[in-house]
Amino acid sequence: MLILEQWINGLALGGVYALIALGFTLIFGVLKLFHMAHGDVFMFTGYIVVSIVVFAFGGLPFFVVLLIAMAVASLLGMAVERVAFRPYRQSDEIIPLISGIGMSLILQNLALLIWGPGQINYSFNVGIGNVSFGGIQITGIRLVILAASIVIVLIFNYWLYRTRTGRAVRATAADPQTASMMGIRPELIILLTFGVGSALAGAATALVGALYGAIYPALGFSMGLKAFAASILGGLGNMTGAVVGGLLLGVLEVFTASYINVAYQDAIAMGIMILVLLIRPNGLLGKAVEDKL
Amino acid sequence: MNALRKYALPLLVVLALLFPLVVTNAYYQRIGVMSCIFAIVASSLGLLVGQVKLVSAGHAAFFGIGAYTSALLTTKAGMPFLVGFAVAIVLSGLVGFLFSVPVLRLKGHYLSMATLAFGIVAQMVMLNWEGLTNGPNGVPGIPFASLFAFELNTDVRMFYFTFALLALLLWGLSRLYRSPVGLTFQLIREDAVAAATLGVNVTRYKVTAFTLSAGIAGLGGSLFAHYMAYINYDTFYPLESFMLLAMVVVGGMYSLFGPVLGAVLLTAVPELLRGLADYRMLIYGVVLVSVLLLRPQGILSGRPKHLELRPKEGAKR
Amino acid sequence: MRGSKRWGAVLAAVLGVSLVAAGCGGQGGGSASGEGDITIAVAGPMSGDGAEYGKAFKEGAELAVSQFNDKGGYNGRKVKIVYGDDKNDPKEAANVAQKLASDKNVLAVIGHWSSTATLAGIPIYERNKVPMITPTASHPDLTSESTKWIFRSSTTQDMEGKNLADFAVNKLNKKKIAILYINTDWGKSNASAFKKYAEQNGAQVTLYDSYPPSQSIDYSSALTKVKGTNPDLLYLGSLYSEGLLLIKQAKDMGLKADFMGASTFDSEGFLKGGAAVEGVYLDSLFYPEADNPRVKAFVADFKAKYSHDAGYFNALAHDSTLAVLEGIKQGGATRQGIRDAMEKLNGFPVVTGDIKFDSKRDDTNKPYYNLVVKGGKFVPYQ
Repeated sequence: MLILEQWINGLALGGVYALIALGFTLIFGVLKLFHMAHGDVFMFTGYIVVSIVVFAFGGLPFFVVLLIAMAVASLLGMAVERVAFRPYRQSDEIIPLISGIGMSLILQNLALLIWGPGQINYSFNVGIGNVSFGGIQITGIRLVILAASIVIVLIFNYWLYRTRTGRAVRATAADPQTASMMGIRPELIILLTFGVGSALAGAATALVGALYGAIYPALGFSMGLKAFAASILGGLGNMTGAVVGGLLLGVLEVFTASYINVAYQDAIAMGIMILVLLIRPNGLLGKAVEDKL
Repeated sequence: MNALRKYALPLLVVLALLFPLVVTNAYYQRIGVMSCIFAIVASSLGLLVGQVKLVSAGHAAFFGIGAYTSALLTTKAGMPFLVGFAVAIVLSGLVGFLFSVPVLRLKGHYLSMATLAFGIVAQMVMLNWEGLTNGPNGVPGIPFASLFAFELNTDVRMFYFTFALLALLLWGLSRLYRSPVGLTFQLIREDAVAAATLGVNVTRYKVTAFTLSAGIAGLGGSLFAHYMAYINYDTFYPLESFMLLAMVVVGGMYSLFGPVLGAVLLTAVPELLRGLADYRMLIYGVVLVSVLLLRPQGILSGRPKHLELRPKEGAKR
Repeated sequence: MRGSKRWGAVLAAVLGVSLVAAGCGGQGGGSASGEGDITIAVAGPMSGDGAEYGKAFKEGAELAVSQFNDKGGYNGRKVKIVYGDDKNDPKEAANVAQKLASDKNVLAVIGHWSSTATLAGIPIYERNKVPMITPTASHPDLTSESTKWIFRSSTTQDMEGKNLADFAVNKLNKKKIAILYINTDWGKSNASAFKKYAEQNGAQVTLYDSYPPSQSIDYSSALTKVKGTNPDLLYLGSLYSEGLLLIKQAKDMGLKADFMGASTFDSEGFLKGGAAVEGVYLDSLFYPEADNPRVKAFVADFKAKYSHDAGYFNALAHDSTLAVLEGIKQGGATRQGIRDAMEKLNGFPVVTGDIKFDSKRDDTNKPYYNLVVKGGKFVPYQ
């Protein structure tokens, strides 16, 4: 019966990874930009939301917390885009990479200065206890996370594939020049992309907060790494890929930890990622782009 | 300006040679040594990023493999420094070779992520292979570097040694960059498809560059280990790889001296900012974001306006 | 290459200027034995992930020094502290160590926090003959007979492991114990000492696993494994931050076991866990409500100065600083004098006990309090 618990643990964790990876891969898809500070947007949002929700207002309903987190992350993401990425639109792709690392350092150290070092512990009022049946016990919040990630992914997909703005985003991703000739304003779309992509990370912030109730400055970096790995696994710029990659990574980590050793969790996850890339150089669901050597 | 240009390099060398004589404070000498070591490692990455456009986000792994190899050979096996040093170069080069052969099929960001993942795996091996690496305890008591009986047991001696190696490396790299091999590297960087059309075995050149780069990073690692006297897996984490990349890019990845300048700046600046205490790393981040605003190509740009396809020194391909 | 040469010139100029600046800075040493202020240093993670511990060092040391100065200092000379931020990174720790060692005014160093950072600093302090005392680094191999300048005022892992194992097996009567620890030098030696003594006392260790120190937030997988072995105690060789997450998640999962941690749990931050940390066992060298006038005075003075409660790391840093100040008092304001005097301390009273160093300059003389969390506070276990 333990194995069912393991699956749910892994999928819930994977759901969080998937949300962060989805935003990351969306941004990559539109700008071909590796957003190194994406994880830190996630982390910084956590601090802001905890300050607002827990310390200023007390127990807001979780749904409201989720919306606040998404809004905060969205604004933060757009601000980051303005400062760290916009100036380098024409540059070699490695330049925004470094600028992103700088931004990541800035956010981490700002968090450290504002909220102090060390871990802040809090709890969101989710109001769900544990679920137990047939001798196993599952943290209710994990089920909520799993459900919430699925719903958010579905809404996001609807937006991207069924609405005019979503189509504009995809058009810009496919061919920015042609898109702009069709009357789409690329800069606006880019801003929007960062807004939506970061909002997804914000949703992850709220869910992670509900489950773990802890935040610390280095959380962004480790979560960011997981999101990079998930989107690479699935195929960069591929939305379904990010979700599949995230879930896979979550399950993989949990099963490595339980059947091999927690100590090797990261090493095995990364090793498998390299292997997958060797077999499928564009990720599991990535389309082979024209072979440019 | 012309005179300045002409004498810049000799002046620089003279200044560097005078440095430990003028500055007698061991702390500043230490920054000097660290700058030289990181200049070596950054130059190795510069070869990869700037010449062949292979963005390795896991170069700290090769740096670490060199450091561990040299440290373990001298402490556990009791070998002299020079043996550890040589094996460190060869072994990290070999690992780089074995890793690059399959992985260089990947392109762009996929390659970067694979190298990043490799960096994490390597670090986890350093942490968990306790029988070999002492695991989390790291390796203490690493002896000083020595040239046969001559021990490099002061900061001054270590500075001259690392500086000499750096100079030698830069001389070698400048020869390489202008050689047919180097020009082929640059051709691959600018247009790999064209290079392939011209009959260049692109993969072979990339593997060569990667192996060379990993070996040089291992050299830097060996120096680092013997200078620190204590190493731990902690130093070789993913962020260190990003810092190395930052050195290369901030200094100017296309230029020979760019990575050197980047390494010196990014090693010295955090030390000079010590007075700012809590704001230190914040300002460091701001520097990273803004330095590129001023000079998007890095401080020393050095990228040719157009690629010269005719080698100057009569070399034939 | 042309552009690169022009910038090479600029580079030369920049280097030249910084060289001159460095040279000036370097020569500004001044005499060590003159009158004026006496400088000691506190080194630790003042920024980065471990910054809370650096802050704890700072507060503890500051209190000790300001009280020393208020009482007239050393022959009327005041003591002042300089700080070295090592970010808990061995590379930075070595730089800091060299910076402090090169400054002839710095007579002693209180630091570093982790064994890793301390190990990186030791060769430099030893070579430059700077007395260093670490309040916290507890790796067994850190001190030795031959490192004459390295002191430690906390106990070693071996002693703490012995105490905790006795607490768990003999006092709490736990016979099936699972152990999870953070894979750092500290966590490893902590957990292995605990395991050794727990088994000696007759307990069965059902699981002995480490987790990587990579700042993960999810421990459900490791805990599910723990749950499978049905222990009656889960021992955590963790810092309080992950300890808190581990305990919370374990309780959420319905793990029916008690929890025990080391003195690292003795932190205000741990108590923020609220209901989740009720009933967790730990030990500490410091118990703020101990019936001891020294502890009472320290707790009151600390609260008055910083308006928050003194914690374990505050107390340890404070005591190490007292040892250094006593070294100045008895041996004079020189590095050699401080070292020699500190080595001879015999039952010097501080908050966490009486300092007496053994032949490896470890202070093995301190008593542990066995504590439990009750009503949001640490109380002694009866």
